[in-house]
Amino acid sequence: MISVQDLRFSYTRAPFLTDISFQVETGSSLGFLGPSGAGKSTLQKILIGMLRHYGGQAQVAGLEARDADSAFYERIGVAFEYPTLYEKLTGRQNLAFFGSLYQNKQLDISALLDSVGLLPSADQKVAAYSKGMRTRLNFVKALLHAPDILFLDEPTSGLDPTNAHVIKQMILAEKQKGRTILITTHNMQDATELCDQVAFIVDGKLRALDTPHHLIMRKAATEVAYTYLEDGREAQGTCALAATGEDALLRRLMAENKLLTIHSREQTLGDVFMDITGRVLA
Amino acid sequence: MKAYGKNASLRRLVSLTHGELRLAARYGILAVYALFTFMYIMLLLWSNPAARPAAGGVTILSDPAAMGLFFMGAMVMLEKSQRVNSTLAASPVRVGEYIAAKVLALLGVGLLVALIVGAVAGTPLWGVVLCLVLCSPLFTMLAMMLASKSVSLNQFLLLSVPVELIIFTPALFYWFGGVTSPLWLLTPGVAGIALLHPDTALWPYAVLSLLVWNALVAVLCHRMIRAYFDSLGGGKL
Repeated sequence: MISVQDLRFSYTRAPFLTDISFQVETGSSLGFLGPSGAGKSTLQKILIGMLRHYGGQAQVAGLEARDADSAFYERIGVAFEYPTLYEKLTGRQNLAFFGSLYQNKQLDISALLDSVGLLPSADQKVAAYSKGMRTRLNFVKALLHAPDILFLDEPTSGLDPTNAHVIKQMILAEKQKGRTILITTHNMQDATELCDQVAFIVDGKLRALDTPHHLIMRKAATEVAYTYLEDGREAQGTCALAATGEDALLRRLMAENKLLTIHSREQTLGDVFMDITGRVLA
Repeated sequence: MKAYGKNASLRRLVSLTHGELRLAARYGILAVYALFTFMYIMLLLWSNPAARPAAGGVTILSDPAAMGLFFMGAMVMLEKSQRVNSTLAASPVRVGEYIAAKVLALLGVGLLVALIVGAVAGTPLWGVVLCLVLCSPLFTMLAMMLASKSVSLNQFLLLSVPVELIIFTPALFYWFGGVTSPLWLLTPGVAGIALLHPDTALWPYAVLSLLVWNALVAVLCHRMIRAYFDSLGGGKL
């Protein structure tokens, strides 16, 4: 569905994106992770046909992105990080207006609003919406014309945990329906939950591309941490995962059933990102 | 895959134009137009009947035709502040459709107001139609170009004042006999106001001049809005 080969782009004489190559199969999801200014924005602009002077190939839905036309935009849905809504129109009117620009049959507006808990506020002006409400409306706006490919930028940004969960479930449901999804996020938990693959982008280069599981397991859990009671106080011990059988204290605590907790310390995607890129996400 | 031809383009144009009119109503622009129209009619009715055609000509060029420059600029600036153009840029809407919808929406409103004012003032109505059809799009496109380069409404207003002065000063001089050379028809303001004059001898030259101005500005406007759309969309990823 998306095939990028040796992609290069520059705003000035200095290269900005270099040697970017990846593929996204139909019905799968890819997450872009990287610090601000890493090139993710530029990459998305190229893929949605908004930056056309690039080198290499960037094929989306069988079309070179630089040749994007109206038919191309019928097939993609984009939810930007910031809400892009008419404040003087109601939520329902916003969806009806943007939906009217597509030839694809639009989904039922009431059902979409209901799916993100906005049906009771459907006829309120967007100016009266909270940040979270705008984010939810912005998200369903991208689904309105049932696109084949979704580009979602920080889809859970500004949402409370309940609404973030709702949005994530909807994203997974869209994937189940066969949609191809590209997500840009700083949220490692979102990336782990939503993405089949994640790509680390730093300084305009693709530094890693793999499934979240493989990336996390690249450096398997190296440590075991345990807690126990000592003189009436909780104490903590650690040992290498490969040496649990040689840790005398751990062995004794296990034999005496005195362990309070024990768990391996897996890396998070954030740890892996730092390991690979030497940078933190911000 | 469905056929994406002229029908789809026409449908989008209708949707966009309808959207523009609805937003103009929501932002109070139509109400301002209505209020101004009422005021102009009252002033024209109270004025000396002999002075009405002259007053009507200036009123039509400066308001229904050119008011679009301010109103459209304000609407584009509001769109920018609400960032809706990012969504439009990543939708099937073409740059030409986006421009045409704004032109049509303000032309429709301006034409209605101008015909009412023209009828009251006794201005030749064919001239009113020609003036509006050729001037309103020009001012709307100029407004879009200025707004696309402005970062705030204040900046837009600062940029638009010299443009208005450059267009209207020669027109007013021409209308009140300050300048008489037909070469002044090469300027859009003079060409526009010449179409409101009962003497139709210069109309063909005025129409030709405005057609050339519209063509030039349309090309420039398309380029600038394309560049503006290209600058949108990514956000801070």
